[in-house]
Amino acid sequence: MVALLVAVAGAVGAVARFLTDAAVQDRRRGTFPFGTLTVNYVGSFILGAITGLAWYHGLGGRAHTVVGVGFCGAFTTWSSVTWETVRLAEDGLGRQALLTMLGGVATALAAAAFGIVLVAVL
Amino acid sequence: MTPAHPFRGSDRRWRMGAAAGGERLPLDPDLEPGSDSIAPADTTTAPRRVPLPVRRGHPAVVAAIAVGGALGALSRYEVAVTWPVGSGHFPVSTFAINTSGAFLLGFILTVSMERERRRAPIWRYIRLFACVGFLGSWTTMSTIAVETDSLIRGAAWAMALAYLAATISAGIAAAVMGTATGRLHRRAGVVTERGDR
Repeated sequence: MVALLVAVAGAVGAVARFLTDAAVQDRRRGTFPFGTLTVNYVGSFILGAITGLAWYHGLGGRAHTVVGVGFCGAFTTWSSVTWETVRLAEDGLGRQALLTMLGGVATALAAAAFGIVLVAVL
Repeated sequence: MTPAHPFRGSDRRWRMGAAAGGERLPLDPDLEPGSDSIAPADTTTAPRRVPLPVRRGHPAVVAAIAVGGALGALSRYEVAVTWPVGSGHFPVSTFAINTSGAFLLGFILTVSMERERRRAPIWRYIRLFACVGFLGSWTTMSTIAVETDSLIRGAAWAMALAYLAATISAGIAAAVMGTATGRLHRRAGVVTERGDR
């Protein structure tokens, strides 16, 4: 049952990532992948928040799994980040490549920490 | 009313792409190939993106991504359940998932670009299903972030740093190898087709 819910949440997360990424990128010029950065930031914040809810407010394991593993896992992506880093580097855009990778990881870490802390103090 | 074709003006676009030739891999795997190719270094044209030619809300596009996304999340869930990682330990299952996904995206995206360019439209759906849906869902950034935060919270600083360093370096290496393997595969394919004629 949990596995089925994880799959459904994964489908929703993947489609939401596709639409969000495209919508963000429509509003940007240039080659920097703001769309991927956005989904990873938002998804990491949500996972941080529900992890905080599980730690400090007794959120159930099932809800945590379905939203965390299903939705957040599918909404955020790592393969796109590595692909974009390599492609930008190949095109001679070393600084953007570095920013995509290190900036992407740093903002996701900060977003997750922010989510956990926000829920902890509430 | 017949629904619109999921890809806008596709045949012409792809014929032009084929005639132009050269390396036209997208910068963002969620976007249409060729739509965000940057200008060559020797021109003065500024790098730019053009809007996504895929009809985003089209049922076929959404279905391909949704099915891939469901399978990706389910697979990752099963792996996480089968190989649980204790707190303070190196998150080996997430590491394996993300590194394998980086390799596969490099490989499949590179191959599918070439197939689509040769007007094999099924590859558009394979790309949406496998790359945007499955691999995007199989790999995850949010879990990396929360696992690293948990390691830091447990004062396992060295482990947190090792996890990030391993994930980043292996991810880049895997993407490079996947792309290179895809190009190798593609060249092999060209040779075979010529031989067939």
